Amino acid sequence: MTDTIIYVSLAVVLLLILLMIARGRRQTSEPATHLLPIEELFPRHAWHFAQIRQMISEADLRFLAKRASPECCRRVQKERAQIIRKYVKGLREDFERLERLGRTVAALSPKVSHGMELERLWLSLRFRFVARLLWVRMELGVSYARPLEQLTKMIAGLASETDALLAGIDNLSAQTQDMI
Amino acid sequence: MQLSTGQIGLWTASLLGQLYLVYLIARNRIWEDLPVFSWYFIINLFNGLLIAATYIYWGTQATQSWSTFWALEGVTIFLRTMVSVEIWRKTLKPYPGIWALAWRLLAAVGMLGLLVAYVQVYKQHPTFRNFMFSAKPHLEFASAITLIVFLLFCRYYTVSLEPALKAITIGICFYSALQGLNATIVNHWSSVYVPVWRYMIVLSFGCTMVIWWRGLRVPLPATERPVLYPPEFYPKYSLQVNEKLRRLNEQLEGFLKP
Repeated sequence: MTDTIIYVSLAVVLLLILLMIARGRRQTSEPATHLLPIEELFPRHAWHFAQIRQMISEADLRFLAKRASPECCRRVQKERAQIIRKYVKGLREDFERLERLGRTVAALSPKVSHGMELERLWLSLRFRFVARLLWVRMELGVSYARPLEQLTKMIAGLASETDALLAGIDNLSAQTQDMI
Repeated sequence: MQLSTGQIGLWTASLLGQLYLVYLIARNRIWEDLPVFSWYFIINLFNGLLIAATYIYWGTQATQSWSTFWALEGVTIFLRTMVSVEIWRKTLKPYPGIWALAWRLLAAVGMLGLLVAYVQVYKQHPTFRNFMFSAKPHLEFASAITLIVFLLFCRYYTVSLEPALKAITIGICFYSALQGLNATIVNHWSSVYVPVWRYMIVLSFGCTMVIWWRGLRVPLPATERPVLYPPEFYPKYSLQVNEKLRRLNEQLEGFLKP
């Protein structure tokens, strides 16, 4: 009987996954025969680092607490939290874009390293899990100012490095096209 | 026991549906691009006719009908596996790097499925005549899981599946999952479930055919071969991308530390 329950559940899960694949995000009609335009792959959200840093600065909050009413402070805090949530979502998009770059490079390479591919898959699963956990912590009101500042700085650093990386890829792509 | 009028009606409708699909395969010259699928479909059509003939001649409960049905099921499952392999090759072969990864992954998942099937069937000590009856749910699930892994793999690497290939894959996967479920239930409640089980086979195949009709309405477009990068490209850039992702992860995990 246990076997039957396991197999019936397995069938239901398989059918649900299949439904999700069939109905979900339509795959691009264009096959992955080339990379996306460079600007599509560049981390975008990191550019707003300066504004976000200003927004999450504790000094700013202290200044506001002295000058404005408690109700106004609460409203500002709420709005800031909302913007920061959006920003973290944006950072996640940056991560996904970078990850997509890695997958596209792999798809268009004659030989790939299984270890490196597995590592990227693992990193991506871990990032998603931790980002979800962080999201929950933010919802619970745990302070996020310092860690977010660190993350933002790092993404900004990555942005310039990625720029150099993509320029190299673009250069190589152009050379490959010329050879054909 | 003979087939009921409802069953005969359903079989006739299924036969007409299959003939329409044969017409689509011929009209759109699908057999040129997918010879294994075309053969599978034609053999499956003849199998259906043969099973119908045994039911009409010997009745549904006769030993001969039982043996014929399960022997032909073995052939069909084997051919369906070959169709899956044909689709995997056609989709991923132009991408040699990830194809080398994919075929190993899919073979490992398939072998694992076969191993589980073997262990499960061995536990039941089936007779030779009942072997396929016991093995069917496990084989169907192994097939469905392998196809799901293939679809997820394509999605992960944004490899676009031609609508026809996607329809065939989804159709086979849907049919295998339903057949796995159907066979599991009939294995446990065979006496009461057998009439429903027969309806379910024909109905699920009917649904699969509708999925295939949609995909095979038009001929397969010519395969566009991707432009590959030089071999030195991947190690250099993938390493850098992974390094960045790793650093991003470490930073994100730092948030959770007290």
